[in-house]
Amino acid sequence: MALNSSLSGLGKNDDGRLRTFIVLVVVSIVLFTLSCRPETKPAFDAAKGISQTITAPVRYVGTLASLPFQGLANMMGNITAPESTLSELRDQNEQLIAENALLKEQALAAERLEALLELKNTHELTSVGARVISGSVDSATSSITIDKGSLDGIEVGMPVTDSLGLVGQVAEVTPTTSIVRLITDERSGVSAIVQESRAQGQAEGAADGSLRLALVSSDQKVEVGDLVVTSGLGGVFPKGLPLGVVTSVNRGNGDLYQTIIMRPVALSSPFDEVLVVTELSDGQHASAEEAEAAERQDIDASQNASKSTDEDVDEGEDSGTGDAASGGESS
Amino acid sequence: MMIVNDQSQRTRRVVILCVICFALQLALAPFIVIGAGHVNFCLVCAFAAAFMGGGSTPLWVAFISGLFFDLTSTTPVGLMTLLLVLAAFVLNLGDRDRILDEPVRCLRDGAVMVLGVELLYQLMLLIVEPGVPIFDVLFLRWLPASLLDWLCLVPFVLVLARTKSDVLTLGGSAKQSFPGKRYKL
Repeated sequence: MALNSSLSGLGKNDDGRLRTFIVLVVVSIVLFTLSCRPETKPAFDAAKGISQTITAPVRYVGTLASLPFQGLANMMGNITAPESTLSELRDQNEQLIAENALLKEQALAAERLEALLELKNTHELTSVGARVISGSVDSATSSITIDKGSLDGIEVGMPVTDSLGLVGQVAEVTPTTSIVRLITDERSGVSAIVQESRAQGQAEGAADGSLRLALVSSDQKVEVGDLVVTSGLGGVFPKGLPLGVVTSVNRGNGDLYQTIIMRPVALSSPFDEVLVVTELSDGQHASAEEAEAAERQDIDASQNASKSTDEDVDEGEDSGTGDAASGGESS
Repeated sequence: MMIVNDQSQRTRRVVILCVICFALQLALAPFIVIGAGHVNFCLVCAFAAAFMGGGSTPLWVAFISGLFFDLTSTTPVGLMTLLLVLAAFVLNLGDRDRILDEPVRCLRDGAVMVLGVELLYQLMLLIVEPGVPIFDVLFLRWLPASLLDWLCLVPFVLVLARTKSDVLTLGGSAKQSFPGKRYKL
């Protein structure tokens, strides 16, 4: 209504504004349509790549600038300590902080690199080391930006780990930077296995930063505290990389699948080092027995479904979810 | 009678606004998070420019801001651009500088528009890339992002209102503004 009255009141000067508005709206719609089409998407990815490369230094500066605030957040946690203790510690630390800061930083970096190297050796990963330079800039996805791109051999779809476990998967690549979609993103999906019981499922991200282990049938044994690792099914992620620790398990009466929530073990923050796995060896894929076990689990779940549910249960839907459990991974 | 043509002032302020917002978007937006919602300084830039009026300028600022956001994020190009152009047009229907006359009303309209833009943005993404629970989209992305956007819009509007006041009165107190005009009589 207000729009109509305002539009009807547009004068000569406003004609140009209206014309500009229409042109910009049309251009925006065309851009949006083209960027969603698979045929023209690569051109937009290239444009994004150029802008990512150009703006990388600013992101880097922002990350640097945020470091003191991250330290401040840690300090806030210590405020509850008694004042006398704090003052004593402050006196003692004052002289040491300056000289220790650099050494500590180097020691931490060495530790992280050592842990990365250990992970690399343990899992025999063929990989490229990279550093996280920024987090996600939008509210639509959970991602990080790393300082290695196509010039370093990075390709879309490659798994990314830190010293603790799987971080995510490369989603976009520019010549000098890459965007990694985190496993905590809602659109991420990784074939997973509970290390203790060997129950297989699919780890999916959630907006609250946790992970859900989906498609684990109710008859499988999963306990709080169990470690969940990648299963290697699907051939995208190397098997055995830690994903998360189970924090809650709910088995509803009559439910086919359990509701399992995990805390991710890998939490990459700015300036953390990560490894981009560039190649998987044969031993890093799931074995034939493991694939068979996953298949059997799916069949069991389908049979349980047909037994326990009413006639209106869609059989096609059951087989669809079963396929996902046996190795569906996002790419 | 002293005539002060503030067209160049306006242009300068818009350029400074864009530079500050774009730098903040790249450098700080990744770290300002509630739930899974990030602040969008490009939206703040487009809205602040829309409140300042100036013919087609706010529309171009909205277009460039949206394009900048789309190119530096992981979402499809053109979506935020479209939403910001639409929002800037609606916020600037009267084509006058509202930021001095009615900053509180600007903030109120901005709040409503932020909620609308962020909601449409999340819903469109849900259509383009389905598979995300609607609860998560609404309560962990849409609402927190909207709140952050609005909170960041407040200081920009207040600062712009103050600087505008200083420009119009050449440092004195501003009693009245003249919508659609560039002069102080």
